[in-house]
Amino acid sequence: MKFSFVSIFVCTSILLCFSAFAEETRAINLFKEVRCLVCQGQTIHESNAEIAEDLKTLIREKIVEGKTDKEIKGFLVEKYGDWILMTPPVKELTYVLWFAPIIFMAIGLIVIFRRKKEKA
Amino acid sequence: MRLIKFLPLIIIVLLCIFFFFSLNNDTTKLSSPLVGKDVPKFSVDRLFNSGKMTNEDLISDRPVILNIWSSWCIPCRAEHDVLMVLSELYDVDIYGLNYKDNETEAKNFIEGLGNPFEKIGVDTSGRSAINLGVYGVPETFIIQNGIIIYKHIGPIHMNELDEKILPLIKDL
Repeated sequence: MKFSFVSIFVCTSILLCFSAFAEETRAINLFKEVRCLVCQGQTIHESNAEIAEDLKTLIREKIVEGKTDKEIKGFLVEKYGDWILMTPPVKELTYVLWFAPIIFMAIGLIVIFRRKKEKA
Repeated sequence: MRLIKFLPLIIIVLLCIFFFFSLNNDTTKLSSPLVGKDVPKFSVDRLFNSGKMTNEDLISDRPVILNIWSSWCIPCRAEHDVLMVLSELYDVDIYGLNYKDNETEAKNFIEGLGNPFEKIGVDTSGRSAINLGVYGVPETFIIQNGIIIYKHIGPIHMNELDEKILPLIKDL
């Protein structure tokens, strides 16, 4: 009897440890995707500005509340705009940003192939 | 075919023009996605009185100004004179949200410099400010019928009051 209580206790503590670890990893991954709005070039993970610390606390709380990464990011975007995310979302306004490099590379490749053909 | 030879040069020149104009873009002043939307819900304690200040206080058919300030914020001191002028000379209700401040210092600030506010709410944790999309003090919202019309980041200077804020309020 005693043994089973101890084993249950040990098992739950291990599980709790793992879930806390998983939550913290999730939090840190989110911190790395969120821009510090007063330092701009930095993520809130790298920044210890006051607003960055506040946003970290908020993200941790939302994780504990059971919010998904998408919901948390959605909340931040709703309040601060797309700029708060380090990776700009793919949408009409950012098509040029996302696809221009690929288009330019394609054009370059076409030019190179044509020249090679001409030489041959 | 000749044009193609110059294409890289043309692209570079266009990019230079684009980057040159981007340089002058002040990225420290971000437009808020909340403009055009309802004021987010909040409810905070008041600085001088008991009771709460909520988003419902800001709903009026007259223009309402919500100013986020703090006693430790130096630009807020400069801005305070402008708010005093605004509250004394113009028919507009100004509400204050005291951001991450010390109660005594906040009270001293208002007692020393005057009180342009109808109500002052206290946001010690900064959570209501995050809800409003605030990332620094001072920030100012112009609200009508509970909808955010305009957001000003940084202190309002006298010339900005004349050129931006007053025309906006008069139009409402």
